[in-house]
Amino acid sequence: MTLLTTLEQTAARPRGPILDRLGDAPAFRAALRAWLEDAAARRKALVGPADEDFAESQRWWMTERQQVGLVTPHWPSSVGGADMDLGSQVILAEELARARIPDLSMFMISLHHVPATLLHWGSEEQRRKYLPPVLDGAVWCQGFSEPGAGSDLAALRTRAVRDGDHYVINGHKTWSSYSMFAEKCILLARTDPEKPKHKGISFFLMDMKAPGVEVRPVKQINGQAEFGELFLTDVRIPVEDLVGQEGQGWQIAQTTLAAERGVILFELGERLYYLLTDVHAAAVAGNSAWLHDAEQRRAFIRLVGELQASRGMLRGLMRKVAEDSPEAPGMIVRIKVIFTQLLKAIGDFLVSSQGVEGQLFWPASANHSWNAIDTYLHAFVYTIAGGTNEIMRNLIAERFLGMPKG
Amino acid sequence: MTDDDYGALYESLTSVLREECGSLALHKFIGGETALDKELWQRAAELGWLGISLPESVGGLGMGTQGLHLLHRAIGASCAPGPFAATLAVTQMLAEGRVDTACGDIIAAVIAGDAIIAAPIAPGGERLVLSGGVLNGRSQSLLGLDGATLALVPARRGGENCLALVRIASPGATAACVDLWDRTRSAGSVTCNDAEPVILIEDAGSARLQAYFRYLSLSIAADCVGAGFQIAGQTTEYLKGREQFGQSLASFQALKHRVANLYIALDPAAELTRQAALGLASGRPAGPMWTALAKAAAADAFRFVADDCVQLHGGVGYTWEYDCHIFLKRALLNEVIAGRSAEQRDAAATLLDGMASAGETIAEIVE
Repeated sequence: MTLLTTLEQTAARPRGPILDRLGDAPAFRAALRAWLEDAAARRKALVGPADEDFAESQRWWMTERQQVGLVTPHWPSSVGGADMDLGSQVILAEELARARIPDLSMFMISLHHVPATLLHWGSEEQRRKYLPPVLDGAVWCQGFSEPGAGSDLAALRTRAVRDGDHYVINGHKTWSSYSMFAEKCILLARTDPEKPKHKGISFFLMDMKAPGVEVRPVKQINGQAEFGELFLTDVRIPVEDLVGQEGQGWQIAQTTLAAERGVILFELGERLYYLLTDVHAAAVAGNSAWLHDAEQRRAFIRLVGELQASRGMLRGLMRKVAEDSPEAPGMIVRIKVIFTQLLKAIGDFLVSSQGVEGQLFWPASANHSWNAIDTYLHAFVYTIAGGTNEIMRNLIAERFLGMPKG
Repeated sequence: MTDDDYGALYESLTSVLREECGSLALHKFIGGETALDKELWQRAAELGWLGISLPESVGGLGMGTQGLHLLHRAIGASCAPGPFAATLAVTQMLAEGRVDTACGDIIAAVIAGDAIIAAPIAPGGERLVLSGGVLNGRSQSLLGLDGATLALVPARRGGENCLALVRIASPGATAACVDLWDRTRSAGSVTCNDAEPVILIEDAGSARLQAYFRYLSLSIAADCVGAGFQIAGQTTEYLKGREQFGQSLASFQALKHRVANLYIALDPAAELTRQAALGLASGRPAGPMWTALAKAAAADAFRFVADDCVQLHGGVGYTWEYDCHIFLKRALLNEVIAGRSAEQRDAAATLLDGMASAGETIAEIVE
């Protein structure tokens, strides 16, 4: 399909044998499970790039999900989704985790942040132009953080200067996930440097193929490069790709950032559940040393309890988010810290329980993401990204416990 | 019941306790000026609290372990003194067995506020000897002994384990209380000299004793959660009101992060306790494991919180006059009750091994 795909065509896509069972939870789960078992078998049979190359395996998985209508089931039906209710999203997350197939991380921004932003703030034209391609696998990235604007995002300095019917962008963005694979970018840039810092920011939709966009991968402490830096030199963005009004960027970005709460972390929690049960089963089968070490045994069972608590809290959070409860924002910041600390602790357990073997370097591809030290190191992504846990603690204290700003 | 119903119930429990067991009342009791423990016990009986979790068939309100959870969370939030934990855990265990007339009478007496049952504070310890229909020996430490009319003691008859309920101050059964640092609770031992048990429970596999400890664990987990959130909240308010260097202590980032950490420690413990209560209520295989893990998590969290709340108060945190020490001493005792965290986790790990080899799932989130 092309960018001209109409929303009507999109909405008319066949729902398929899985989505047809929405509303009948056991049947929906059974259909999902059957499809996932087949998909897992197909994945095992893959040879060549899709077996090891991250982007290829993501595209393979995207295609599989497209075929059964499970790319954007959480979107409204008016833009090609299935209006999937929260209960069904929970079942989907549980079954995806159970199948142990990696998530669609390369499409995270496309599937969650872009629709959340455009459905709330976008023009009709922007929705028609940009949402349908996401269903066909368009990769978006996020151009928010800058080297000088991390926790203090509103200090961003990338400039957007109006020039006729375009904005001209100059600046330097960083921590942009999968930007090396992205076709489009949601971008924050300063349109008015005279105004107070939160007021002078605007929100743009940028074509990554436009002249002047250069992407350089950031090599991380685990040797991988999920993130890229964007160097933007005289990049021209048509005025119709400004979202909302000039100066509304900060407010719009809050909607964008709120999109990543809930279901994504819930699915991760479910994946960790299977990780822990797999670790336990493997330890029992192989009579691992740690099963007989009182300290390690306690460390493990403690994680089982903490994970169960996090899974329950995340499900409670999703319910509150769905109800638009005033309690939800306060829950999110606490769960973010609790759950991401748990990710670190699980990684820490994997490292310590594997002894010397845990020290072996094993480049983790998307298919082998449970290498012990890689799991531990990768957990820092969660404790740092999306607002560091230190920022979260400030928010807990200031916004939700009423402690005054210092 | 819905979340809202539970919320309303919890609110009604805490509002009574706030009224009758506020900070001043608590300090007077600790100073030996009042018998607040006895008053609260009677008030609880009047309000039906003592039967909150018991089946309606024995005269309770039928709310099961979720009732036990909420009641103890409220009790913890007020650091309420009294023999609630042991007596109600024993009664819960009795009510799930065969309830004959003698047993039914005891349950009814507890609900009415007329019976208090002391019971083992933690697993392990010596068993009494039952021979010729009479008990002999000195019990291990029993929780809730002050004012107790009955005591549950593990015993041995021939080669078999059993549980005996003895009437305190009946011929041959004498109680000796000890003073605890946690003045809101009491403990001590019972010495039997040819004492005749009023109830004898066969317990060869120790399942009934474990059931008692499970209810006790859940109750103490809930107590820790209620108490932990309470002292964390009081400490937050103290920091907001206290000025040094010309500004509110609550405006310092170092202290904000410390306060945030109190809640971060308590939230998972609260959620696990909630799931444990619901898991036990529905008889899920993983219920006992979640209960052990909840007790460990809640006791650890409360101890951490109570400790740091003393420090966050600064000098006044070290005074008898402020509430911090009452919470800290309760946290210290709670760590021991029903077994320390390491023992609880060892038990949970064994349960997990058993469930794994039996092919049982722990995947379910209990709601």
